[in-house]
Order: sequence, then structure tokens, then C-alpha cells
Amino acid sequence: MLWLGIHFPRLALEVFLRALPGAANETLARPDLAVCRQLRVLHACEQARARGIQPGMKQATALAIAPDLLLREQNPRLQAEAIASAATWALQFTPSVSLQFTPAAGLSAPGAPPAEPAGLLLEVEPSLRLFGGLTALIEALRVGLQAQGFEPRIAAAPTATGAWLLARHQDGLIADSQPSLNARLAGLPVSALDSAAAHSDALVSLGAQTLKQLSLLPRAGVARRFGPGLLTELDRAFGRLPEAREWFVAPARFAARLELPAQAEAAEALLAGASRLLIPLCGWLSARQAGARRILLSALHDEAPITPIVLSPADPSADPQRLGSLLREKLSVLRLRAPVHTLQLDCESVAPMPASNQTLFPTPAQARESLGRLVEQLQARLGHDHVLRLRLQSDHRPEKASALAQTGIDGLVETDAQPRRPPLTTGSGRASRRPPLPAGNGGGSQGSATASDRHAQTKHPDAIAEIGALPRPLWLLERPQPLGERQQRPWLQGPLSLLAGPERIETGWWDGELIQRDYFIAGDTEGVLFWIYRERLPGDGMAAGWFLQGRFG
Amino acid sequence: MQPASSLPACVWRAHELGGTAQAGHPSGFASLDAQLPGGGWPSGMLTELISREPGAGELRLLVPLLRQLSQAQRLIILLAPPHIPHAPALQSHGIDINRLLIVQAPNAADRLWAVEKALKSGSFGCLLAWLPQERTRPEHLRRLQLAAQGAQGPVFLFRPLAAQFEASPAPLRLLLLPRPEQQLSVQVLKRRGPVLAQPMLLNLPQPMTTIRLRRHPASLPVSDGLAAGLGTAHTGAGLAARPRHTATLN
Repeated sequence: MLWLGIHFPRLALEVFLRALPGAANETLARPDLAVCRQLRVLHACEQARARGIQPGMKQATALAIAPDLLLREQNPRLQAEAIASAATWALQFTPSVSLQFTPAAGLSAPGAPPAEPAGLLLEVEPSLRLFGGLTALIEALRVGLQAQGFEPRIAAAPTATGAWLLARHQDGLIADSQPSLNARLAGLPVSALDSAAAHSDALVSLGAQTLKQLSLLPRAGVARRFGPGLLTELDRAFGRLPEAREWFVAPARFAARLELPAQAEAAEALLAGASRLLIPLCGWLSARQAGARRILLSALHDEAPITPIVLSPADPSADPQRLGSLLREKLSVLRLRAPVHTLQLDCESVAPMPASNQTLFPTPAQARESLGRLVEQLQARLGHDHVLRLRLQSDHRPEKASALAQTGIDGLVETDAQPRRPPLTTGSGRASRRPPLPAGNGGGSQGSATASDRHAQTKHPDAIAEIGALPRPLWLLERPQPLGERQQRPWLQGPLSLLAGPERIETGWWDGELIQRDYFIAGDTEGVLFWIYRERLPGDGMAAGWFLQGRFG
Repeated sequence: MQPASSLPACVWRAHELGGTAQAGHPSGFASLDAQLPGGGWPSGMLTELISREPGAGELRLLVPLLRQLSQAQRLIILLAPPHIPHAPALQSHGIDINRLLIVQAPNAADRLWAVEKALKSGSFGCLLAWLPQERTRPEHLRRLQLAAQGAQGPVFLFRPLAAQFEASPAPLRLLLLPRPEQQLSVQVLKRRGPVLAQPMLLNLPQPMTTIRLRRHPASLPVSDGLAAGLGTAHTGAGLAARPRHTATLN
């Protein structure tokens, strides 16, 4: 067994500070912050300490030194939530995460308020190989916790209590075997033990200043004088007594909230706090081997309804960077109606997402993932109705034959799961080779078209070559553009000559959008080809004459 | 057309055609391929196509490339196209419309942002982008050219005629002018190679139903030609069930 103890020495301060943007962000100044308990300063942030605010100082003194100091009462509920959030996040490294409780300092009497969580214990021996060894794992934990706004002390030891004592004593103590743990614990002061807090003066006067000296004292006498708790804790630390710990269980549904220390006016100011919420979400997701489909971030205002911010990645995702960049695009276009005091994050929909094998070369699945990222970033900034795909529709009216539709990314790139399809979809009703003569057309009119085709060709072989199957232009104008007419010829910055046609399209009477048009291919003096039509029987409210509907590109 | 020397691809002598690190995508026009460094449309760099207006033949110039890429299941991104691409026409050219992603960005800043995002992601077979002329500065293009270096496929920027006189960091710039008889004049404004004074004349690809047009349209009065009894294709299934053989236009 190898345990990692994670202690948060500045937790009381960090629960307030972590909702603020990092120090690297120059644009948003961080306020000086101090946390008080019982009218005395408990912790002060570095900026405040530089101005002379010391822990233990009276609240009034601190305010006299720095009148603009932001004072907050210590909030055990927030601290417990922060620890639980960190525990949820840590579940991605090992399923064995346990909360370490500390009896509230100075309240060691029985019947005191319940113990509050103060740190985490992770049993990581089975995870070492996956995460590249102990050093790499500790580094990953440290980086991840710092990204959530914590400054942790991490220590490793073969016993849980031992790891906790080392972590609380100093950062970076690593004891990977029992002898080295014994050596490290031996030098620790007795005050490191939780159960020795009330008796530290008595113990020191006995000459037991370190744990080694304490363990040399006669056990029966120590148990009689200081209670059995002291020896139990000592024995657990040294591995002489087994220890059963209660494991942390992740919530079935992820929800987290973060109270901002100051009301945020600009949407960009929410980014730091919101990313702090995304990181535990991603840990929770990867512990469940799932990806988020839809995340709801609610910005709570004092006097306005909640502003919802929905993140819906194109593919289920548990990648904090991907979700973070999506969030950044969302926030960049968001306009807040009122200042925000609290952020709440709910994961509304998850999808199972088994971890993929890592490969040396790019695979279709990776191509799909990078495309998914691109599509969702574009959707986040431009809106879902601006990222579109083409669809064929079986309709003769040109403006309805092809439609822009918003869809997911399925089918855009080939993945392993998708069989290779023929490039031309032939069963769509709209025949691909001879577009104007679809299968749904009546047999009579089809016959007549070919008859007229022959008729025209025999009469004027040179005049019109293709009838009934005029090609379609590559560009279709959003709405037909009326053309002028001069000397009975259509005019577009110059005379247009009709090169092929007419092709009559007359359909759509059933849905009130009847069109009766004769289409021609026209060319201007430079040789650019246009697709123009003439309204055959202009109805009510319809303009007569020539219209430009497409360009051949 | 590769340089005869054994110098690496990044070095070229000004009198011979430069090479590219990876072979270009065949453009479908042998005479054009012969004049392009790398023997086709280059990947990982910007290609500017300058034409008077959309519709001058710039899209049909790319049809062979788009057909080949879409049939190879590669993604084609059309960024801020000036008009709506017409799906039946694309299909009749053999382009698989399921491989097309159309991104609309009315705002000029959004459009440049989207081009850069797409270039950086590199997850496309081909990118066609229409840039706003009034908001595109050389520094924007330089950013895009840098971002394009990681791209796996050709990147085309469509720009109006005014852009031909501006400096641009794009290594390949072509001026496209329409010509009668469904031809396109392609003039190489800039390439890694010697100056090419003469524009090339390319026959534009035609859909499977070919456009066969009248020979001398200007000499034939339109109203006469129509009144002489042009056949009418009657493809509608609507009100007029009676087939008509003549078109009355006037």
C-alpha cells in the first residue's frame, strides 16, 4: 500500500481566492483578502501580508492598516465543499480516495462541533504504472490541484496516517518504504499528532518532543495519562495497527457551485471561476469513464433571473481544455444583464465514453475528435445556425432542391464504425446523373420531354443541344435577383445572350409556392454563365420579367 | 517539373520551378499542374484565387480536386461562401455533398477568426474561404499563412480583383478571368518559380450532363431563335399537365 496525503494549509483562504482569476491575468486586479475567525485574522493572502497583515492580528488592527481589505469570516461549509470537489476530481487517479477529518483546532473537548474535512488520502499503489510512477503522479496531482486554486502539500507513505502526518508537516516528503517512513516520522514533533494537541505542553515537559521520544515512553503509562487515542494514532502512523478508512463516494449526479468573492460584472470575469468548476467535473467524468454531452452553467444574479450558459460539445467530452475553450467562446459573446454572485455547474447529460488506446499514428477517430472540436468552437462563437451541411431534397423547385441543415458531425469524416459508402447517393429520388428528370415524375410528361427533345434536335440540331436536362449551376442566389430588360433581352451590366434552354419548371401548387418558370443558361459578353429564368405567368404580387437565380461558378 | 538539383524542397532557384515538401494534389488540368510548384494544388500554404466576382469559374476550377477529395472521404469546408452551393449541381459533378461543411460568418472579424481556427485544427481535406476585402490586411494574411503551415490539405482564399495589386504572403496567387466557350484564363501572379507571362486557358469541367451551347450566341437574335421553335423541357408535375412544345416568350 502506498498512500498519498494531501493537505491544504491555506484552505480557509483558498475557498475565497479560487473564484478569482489567476495572478497571471493582469487586467483584473485581485483584491487583498483576509479570513477571520472570532475577530482575529486567521489567514491573509500574500498581497495583504506584504502590507503588514499578520495571522493572529485583531480584525480592527488589520482594517486600520489596510482599510480596503476584504474580510471574510471563515466558512466551514465552503471548505467542506471544496474538499469534496477536490476528492471528486482525484477519483480519476484512483478509486480509493478518503477524506481526512480534523477535529476543529482548539475544540478538543468531547461534544465539540463535528470534525471538518481537512485533506485527502489517496491509496495509489495500483495506479503508479498507469500514471508513470510516483513522481509523475504527484506532479499531475499538484498541477491539477493548482489549476483548481489550491496550494497543496503532498506526501507519500506506506500508511495512511503516516502520509497525513508527513503532508501536514512539510510538502514533498516521500517515504516509499516502512523503514524510511519510520525514520521520517521519528523526527516529527509530537504536536503533529491530532490527539496530542491538548497535551502538547505536558508531553514536552515530559521530555517527549518528537514522535521517537514519545514512542520510547512506557505505553501503559502514556495510555493512562493521555488516553488511548494518542497511542492508537501513533501506532497507525508507524503501521503497527491496521486502519480501516471510509472511502469517498462520488455523487451520482455532478453539481457544484462557486460563490464569487466579489460580484462579477463582465462575462470574462466568470471564466476563472467557471474553469475551476470544470476541472472537478472532468475528474468526475473520467472516473466514471463518461463524457459530458450537455453542461449547464448558471450565473446567479441578485435581482434578475438566472443566466444559463449551455455547453454542448459535438462529441461527449471529458477534456478540461476542450470544454474550457468551448466555455471561453461562449463567454466571449455573452452579455450579462446583472452582476453575478454565484456560479453553479450541473452536468445534465453524460454518455459512456470508454478510454481509447493510445496510438502512434493519427487515426480516423482522432481526426473525428479534432473535427468535433473545430465544429463546436465554430458553433459556440457563430451560433448553431451558421455551421451547416447541405442536404438534397426531392423537389423540382431549385430553391428547395438543396437545403442547408444544421446537423452533428456524424458522417463528415470516416470513422472505424462507419462503413465506406459510395460517394454518390443514388437512392435519393433525385437522380444524380440526369437531375431534371426524377423518378417521381409522371411517365407521360417524361415521355413528352424526350419527345420534345427529339423534336427540337431534328428541327434545330445546332440551336439547342440539351433539353430537359440542363445542368444546374453551382451557386444559387439566396433570392432571385430581378434583371433589367433591354431590346427584349435580359440585361445584367451588359446584354445577356441565352445559350441554352428553355427548361420549364412548373410545380409546387400544393403548398402555395407555385412556380411557373422558363429557365435558360445565359452568358454575358465575357463568357460568364448565369442561370436565369422568366416568370411565365406572374401571379398576384409576383414581379414579371427576368430573374437571375444562379451562377455557374 | 521537379528541380533537377538534389537540393531540398525548401531551396529553389529562381529560374526553375520550386518543389514542395509533399506533392501537390492534382488539379485535374495537366497544363495547370505543369506550372504549379509541387505539380498540383499545394498543401500547407495559402493559395489565393482572385476573380472579379463569384461565378467567374472559380468553383469549377476546383471541381476535380473537390471530387477527388470528397470521394476519398475527406472533409471540405466552405467558409463564408458568397452564395448557397447548389447540392444537385455538386452531385452532378460527382462531389459527395455529405463531405461538405458550410460555415457562415456574416461578421468580418468572425470570418477571419473562423478561418484561423479551421487552419489550426487542420482537420480538413480542403478549405475554401471567402475573405472580406475591406477588412483583410496583410498582417491577417500572414497570420493565416502561418496557421496554414500545419494544414494537411490545400487552402484556397477567394479574393476580389482589387486584391491583385496588394502584397500578400500567400506563396501561390492566381488571377482568374472568364473566357467564352466555358474556358477560364488562369494567370499566375506569384509562385515559387519563374514569372509566367502568358495566362493559361483551361477548359472548365462540365457536369455529367454536358453544357453544349450555341456557337455564336451574339450573332443570333434571341427573340428569333426562341420564336423559331425551341423545345421546352417540361419537368414539372404541377398545374400545366399539357406538354408544350414551343416557348412563347414575348
